[in-house]
Amino acid sequence: MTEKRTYERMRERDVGLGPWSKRAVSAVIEALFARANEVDDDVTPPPAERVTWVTGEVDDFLSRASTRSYAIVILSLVAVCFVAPRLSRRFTSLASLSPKERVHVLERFEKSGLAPALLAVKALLSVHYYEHPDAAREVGYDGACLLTPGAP
Amino acid sequence: MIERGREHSAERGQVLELDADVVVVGSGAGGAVIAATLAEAGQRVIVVEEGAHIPPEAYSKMRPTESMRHLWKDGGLTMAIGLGDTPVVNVMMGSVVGGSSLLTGGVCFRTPDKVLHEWSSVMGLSELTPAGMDACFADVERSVHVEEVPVSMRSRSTTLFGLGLRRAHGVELTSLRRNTKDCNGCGRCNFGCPHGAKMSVDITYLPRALAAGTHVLSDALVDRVLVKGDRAVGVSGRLKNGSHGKPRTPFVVRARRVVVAAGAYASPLLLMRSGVGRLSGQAGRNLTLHPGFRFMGRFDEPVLGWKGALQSAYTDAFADEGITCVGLFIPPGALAGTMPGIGPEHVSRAETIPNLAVFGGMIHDDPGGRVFDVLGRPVMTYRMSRKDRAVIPGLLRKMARIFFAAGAREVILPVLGLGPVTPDALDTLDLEHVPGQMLECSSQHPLGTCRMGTSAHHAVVDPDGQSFEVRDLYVADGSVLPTSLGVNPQLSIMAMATRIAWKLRERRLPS
Repeated sequence: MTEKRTYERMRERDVGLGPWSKRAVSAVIEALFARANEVDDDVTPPPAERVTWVTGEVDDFLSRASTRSYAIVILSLVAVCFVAPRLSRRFTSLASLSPKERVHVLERFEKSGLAPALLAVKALLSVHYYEHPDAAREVGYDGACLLTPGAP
Repeated sequence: MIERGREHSAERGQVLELDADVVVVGSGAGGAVIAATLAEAGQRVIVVEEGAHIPPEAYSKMRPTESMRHLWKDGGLTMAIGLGDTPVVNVMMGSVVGGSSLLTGGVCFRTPDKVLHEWSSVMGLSELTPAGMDACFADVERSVHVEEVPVSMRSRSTTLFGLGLRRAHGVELTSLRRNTKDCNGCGRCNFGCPHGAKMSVDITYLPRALAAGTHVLSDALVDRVLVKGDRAVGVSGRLKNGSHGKPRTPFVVRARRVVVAAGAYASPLLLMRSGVGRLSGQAGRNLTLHPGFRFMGRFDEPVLGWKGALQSAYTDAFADEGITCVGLFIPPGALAGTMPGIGPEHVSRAETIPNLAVFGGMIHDDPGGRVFDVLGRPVMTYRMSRKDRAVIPGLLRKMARIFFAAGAREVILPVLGLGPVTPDALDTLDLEHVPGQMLECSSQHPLGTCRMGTSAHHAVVDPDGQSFEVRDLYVADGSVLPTSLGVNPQLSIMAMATRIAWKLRERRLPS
């Protein structure tokens, strides 16, 4: 039995992200960690492999979270995906916007009174995203102590 | 012996029944001390812990988010709802054998003399003087190897804050003391020490308790304290051995004495569900949190703040204003998560993480919080007193100026949606009118919800930690501390538990 499976047994999986919330999480990751693309004045989302990995990690995290934590995250995600576009007069879901539009929508949302909902999602995604060794390297982090087995 | 409740197989309808002299609910800083002390005195002790048993060799290999999944309560997402102009406070606690002691930065302060004088002189807890508590502190310090962090282990982040403090206020940082042995300063104490260097209770007190015959039952959720007449006679609950780790098999531990040490969040709820604490109406009230704020300064030079002890120095120069500043560093993901900006703006800020110095400021708060049940679900609320709320703008300016004095180009304040602040912009910022819900605030120190006192009218437990309402029911964790401390409470909780354990050791067990 691998070490990972040893402690998987200690807090077992329950329901994680469903198909909708997986798409929503991926959409936020693509916007939140997008880089500037100066060639065509657009933004470039992180590599698809990394988005998939982070989404999987968030899924696993939530599958072991309490009902309360799960509810907080999902409600925050709903606010980010459906309320945030409306604050920018876009009457659609976040996932159906282009990554560049998503960035604008979330920037505006972050300055609104509903910012705590975004903070909850942003904090959760960031702690997972920067555990990916490539993402950590890209921001100049070289502290091996935090990047231990289980990372890709 | 450690028995994992999760792995317990039982037929439906079967009840696991155990018997002990003392049952201890919770295995953290309070419960582990009680268990070790009483077991070594020859008493038969059972410790019941809601969290899982995760040995050091397993948690040492976890990434931070894996640690959050398996060791932290609610994955680190427990919130105190801010009432009035109070921020929402993220309250972090452990839920594992060893409790929050696995997740602290190891900081060990004795209870400040000023606080002990208030307890002993103003509140009438006459034994809680510096002299009266000295032997308890000394015993804990020996047991968990409290040592001063050498200056050589300070991170560049801490050194820069110290430089700013000297330039702005003419004050030097003071070295912290921590419960460590052979720490190499890899900076991930909050997720379980990867080297076994932090002397948390799972590698100090609990092994002693186990060696003396204590039985630890993990994954076991206690629902209520069993009371017969006016005496506590055990606890009942459910093992988390159902599908997906949900509570299933009922268990009962019959005991001659019950010690509740489940922390300031869970202990009052357990008492209230058991019908205890109604006399004074104080169970669950008087919650203090030491609301904390993190500050980041961006420097031109590489700081690499993760290199060095996670927490190594502090200053109490502003203690008269109710502020204690303590050094810390946080993993890059957690830092980035609190940085303003989305997409390219966020990423460009995250790329400055190697140039960031980080320091924390916490408030020595008045009791303003409450823990209670709503439809069987625990809820925590927190209302800052006017005095504490008024401290925040000054704290924000003070910390920013210290970083600027050290040469920071800009400072990131814990205000949601506010971009980095330059020295010129700081003077024009209207920090006095930032709404509470826009402040980013966290706490690792919930205290006071079953406070100790001399009268059943305003306290839950007496000066020996015994419930005013039910005999042989004791509380021994952070919830009994009568007020907040203004400093990290780990050592105070363990010293108070030691004091209560010594009293119990001398007190004859009921027949």
